[in-house]
Amino acid sequence: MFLFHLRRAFEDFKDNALLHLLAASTVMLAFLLAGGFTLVYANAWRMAAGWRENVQVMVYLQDSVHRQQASAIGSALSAMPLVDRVRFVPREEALAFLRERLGSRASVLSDLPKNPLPDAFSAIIQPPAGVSAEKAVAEAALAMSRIPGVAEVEYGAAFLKTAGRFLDFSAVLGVALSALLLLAALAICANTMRLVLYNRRRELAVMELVGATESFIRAPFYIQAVLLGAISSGAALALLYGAFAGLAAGFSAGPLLPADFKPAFLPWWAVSFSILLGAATGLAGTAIALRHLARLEQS
Amino acid sequence: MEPIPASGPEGATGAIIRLFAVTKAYGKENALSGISLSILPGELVFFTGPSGAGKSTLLRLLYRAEEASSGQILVMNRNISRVPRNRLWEIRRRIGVVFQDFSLIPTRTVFDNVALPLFAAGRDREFIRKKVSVLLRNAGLEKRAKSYPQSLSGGEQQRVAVARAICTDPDIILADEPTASLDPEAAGQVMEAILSQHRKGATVLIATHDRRLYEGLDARVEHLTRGSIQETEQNPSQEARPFPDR
Repeated sequence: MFLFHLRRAFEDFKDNALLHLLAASTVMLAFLLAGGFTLVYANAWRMAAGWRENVQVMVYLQDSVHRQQASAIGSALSAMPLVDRVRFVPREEALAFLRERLGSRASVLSDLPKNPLPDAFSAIIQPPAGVSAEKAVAEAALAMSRIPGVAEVEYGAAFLKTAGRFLDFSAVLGVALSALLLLAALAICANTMRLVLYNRRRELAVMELVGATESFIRAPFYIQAVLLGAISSGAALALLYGAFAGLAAGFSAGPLLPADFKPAFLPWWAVSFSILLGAATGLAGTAIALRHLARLEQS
Repeated sequence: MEPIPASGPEGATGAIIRLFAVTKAYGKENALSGISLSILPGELVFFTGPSGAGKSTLLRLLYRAEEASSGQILVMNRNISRVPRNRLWEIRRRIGVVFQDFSLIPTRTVFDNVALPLFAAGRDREFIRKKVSVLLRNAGLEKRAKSYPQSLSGGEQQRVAVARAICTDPDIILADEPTASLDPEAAGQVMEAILSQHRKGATVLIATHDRRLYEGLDARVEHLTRGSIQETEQNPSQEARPFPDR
């Protein structure tokens, strides 16, 4: 019996090819946009998670601090609870780094009477899971600034805060956008099935009169809607993967990202969920169209 | 329920169809006015009368293509107006309908059109293939199995419609002007297909304005005029057959 329904579903695809193609394209576009947004968001979140998990804090020492005192400050920093590792950055190394970054313009440094940069410590802080990274780092930075001999503590607080807010806003925007796109896909599926049912109304009436049950009449429409939704969302993900693979091949981490950061595609469960969501969208669209048809018949 | 004097065999216990004061109105116009009648299993009944007499409406009420405005209709011991819409198939599967306009599905082949009630009844493919092949052969349409209805003549289309109506060996066959717009030869073939089912025991109800269809047949003829039964010609050779309560 399932094969009979499947055959009828495919015959419907053939008979209403243009209609189904338009519906499939729209559903595919909706899933492509929602999937694309999710992919970008997921990678941005991973990036931000990298930043939040290993926040680098620069602890600048006062000019009057000797190397021996600096060593004691380093020990104090290492002993702090959230600090993962500490590295001493002598002023000479800092100047050499600056010279390297300035490149051809490094000659301006030659005119300086003495090295203006202070000795410093680079401390990596690992905020514990479940705690706001911004808050944990701010508290650690405050504690570091209170150590005698420390002149200033820098860690890009504003950047962390902005990145956090941006991600939170993006998540809300993404959910809202995806919901809207899903609704649009649902409406398209419902309208397509409504048109298919309208084209088939005479056939449906005859089937009813010869004793077909409701489930027998409806089954092919549910099958074609599930196929339409699943294939469209699957095709959207395939296109997305193609675009992602192309872009990821030429990706370089750059100075702002952790060196080991690599963009990742959506996990398998998200892919499966998207395809199921596509199928569910088709199913729901058909249910709406059939309910509409039943209401018309009863009125 | 108080029995209402009905046209047809008196005290028709075991009737396969009973109508009690059935009225069907469209707006203020009555298509049928207080029709009461009983039809026994195996009977051959013709409903005749001029256009607008209510013949087609009466048949349509029997398989609930339309609802009666008042009165009650019992089909195979079930009050058809009280059968839930999603259970109507239980009755419709036991009724074969030959529509005046054939009502074939244009996007399905002749084979698929005939096979539709069998698929709907959940019969297996092999059974359907054999059964439909026999029906098409009997109807002289075996070479048109893969054709589409629009490529057939009117007579051929009506023969397909008859094959579809009888493919489940229904208890009741309703035929609405089955020979209208057919030439005499095609009309004869269609009638023969329907009557062969009657000879096998099916109850057959035919709406027609063509008296040639029932002349010389052992049949009951109900003459309708403006929605009422005006006259009944009852052939006494009609015998009641027990109606199996399936």
